[in-house]
Amino acid sequence: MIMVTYSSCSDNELADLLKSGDQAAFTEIYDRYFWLLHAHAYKWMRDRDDTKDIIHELFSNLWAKRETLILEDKLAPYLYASVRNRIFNQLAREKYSVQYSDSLEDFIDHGECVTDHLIRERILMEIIEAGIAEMPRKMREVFEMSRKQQLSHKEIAEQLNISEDTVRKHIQHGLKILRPKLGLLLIAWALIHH
Amino acid sequence: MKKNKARSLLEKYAAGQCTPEEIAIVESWYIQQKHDEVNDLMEKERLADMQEVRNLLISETKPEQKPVRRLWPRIAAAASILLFLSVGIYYLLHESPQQLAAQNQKNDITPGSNKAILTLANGKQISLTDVKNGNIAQQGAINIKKTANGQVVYNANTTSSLDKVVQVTYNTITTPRGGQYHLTLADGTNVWLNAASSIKYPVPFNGKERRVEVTGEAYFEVVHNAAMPFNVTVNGQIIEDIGTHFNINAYNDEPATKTTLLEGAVKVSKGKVSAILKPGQQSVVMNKGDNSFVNVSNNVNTDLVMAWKNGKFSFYNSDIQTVMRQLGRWYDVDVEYEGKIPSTIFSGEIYRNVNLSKALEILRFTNINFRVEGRKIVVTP
Repeated sequence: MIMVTYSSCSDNELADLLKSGDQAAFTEIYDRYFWLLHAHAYKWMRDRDDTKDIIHELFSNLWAKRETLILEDKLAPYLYASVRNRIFNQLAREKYSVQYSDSLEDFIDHGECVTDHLIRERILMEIIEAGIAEMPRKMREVFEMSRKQQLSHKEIAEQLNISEDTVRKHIQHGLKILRPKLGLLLIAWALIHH
Repeated sequence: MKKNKARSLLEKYAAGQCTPEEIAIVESWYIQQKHDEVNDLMEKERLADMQEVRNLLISETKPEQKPVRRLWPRIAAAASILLFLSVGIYYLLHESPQQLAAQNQKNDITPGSNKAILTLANGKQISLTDVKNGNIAQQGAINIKKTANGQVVYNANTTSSLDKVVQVTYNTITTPRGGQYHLTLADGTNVWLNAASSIKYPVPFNGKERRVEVTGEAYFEVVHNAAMPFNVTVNGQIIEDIGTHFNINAYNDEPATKTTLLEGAVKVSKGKVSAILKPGQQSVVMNKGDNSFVNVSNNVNTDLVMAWKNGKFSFYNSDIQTVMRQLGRWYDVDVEYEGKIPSTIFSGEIYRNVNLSKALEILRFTNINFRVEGRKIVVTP
């Protein structure tokens, strides 16, 4: 009766699944965030290969550390800080430091600091998520939808007035059928006849 | 050695050896850095890179042969759904347009549409559904027109000498159950009426304030005029606009009258108590019982409130009666309950342009049963 796809999972749920070693959840996180992270990194690097390396390493690392990472409700901030740190690693290299040091030098002398790290985190998020506007339409819809998903599986059970076990069965069913068939293209929710 | 200072700071940062102050400098610079937008990648190129890295990652992360079964409970524990499917997607997945057309021809109850009745000061009633586009009435210096997209527009004849002579009269626009309407008042203010609603307004606006009265549900986009504030009287409350977009839900069969602010500011007064709303806030005054309070809720989901204007029913943790009251008004049907009223709670969306049978079909997925008798829906256990 009810079908669910990974693309309908919230970030928190994906983070939980990732911790348990779910590769599909990992791929979903990749599909959801690749565009924004890549677009942001490319703005700094202007080099396709270096940008690809940054993204590749970032996600390899996410998978390698999946069991020990404490993401809680901070998957997006974690990814955004990771991409920034990896960009910094590149900027420390001669190739980029030449390009950016005038600007940083000038900032050290005349710039205005944002001292609160939470505000910096928030601004970074806004900068990276400004890339949503450029995302291909379907990808953007899925991304935006994922931000609106709030219901946990217990809440679903309560709302539907059925047991958690029944929800679980439906979800299994949905995941098995839908995932390979529609994947990303399916927007968040779907119902089928019993 | 200017360049060295910057570079050594970057190296220090990359090595994780910066002081908090240095971190603040580097990261502040980072978020203030402007980039050239030229030479950006093409969508195609970016998607190609996405696929390339994806393939690498998939081969790197191949799961060890774990029994699949162990995974399911955890997936279940984390997966989420919304209850109803947007009907559009439902059709997309399950039905061809031919099937749809065939279904529509059956004896189904069609959804509401744009219709309303204009009552002039002299009591004359004009059906805005049937009347032709163009001029539909003239009252003093005010010309009333129906536009090609079915909207009613008041145009003030701005000859000032005339304005003074004009007698203020009142007009009312009423939507029936199963109707909705959009009108533009003489001051340029836009008003959307939901089903079974009305607005009474002076023609023209004159004097110190613009005062209108509504029943049912209405959404306002008011043209601000500090010299002539816009006031809405509803269920014994006065909503005073301070330049703004807001929705009023004041159906008598709902438990409370709710004013939701989307933009600007409004003051909601009830007798001696009042509250000033900020965007995203909603005032709630109970329709029965102790209604001497104006309660204010913060961070209201405005998508939910505005769903009707955007062509949807949208529910969040709503009981069956709330859902059925909305369907009843829109499909012009009465609702009765046989036996125990189901305690199911609903969250989700249904488009308002589907036939009643389709809307009910979606509710049936949640194990609610119905019988339709003419224009009556009987909810059965």
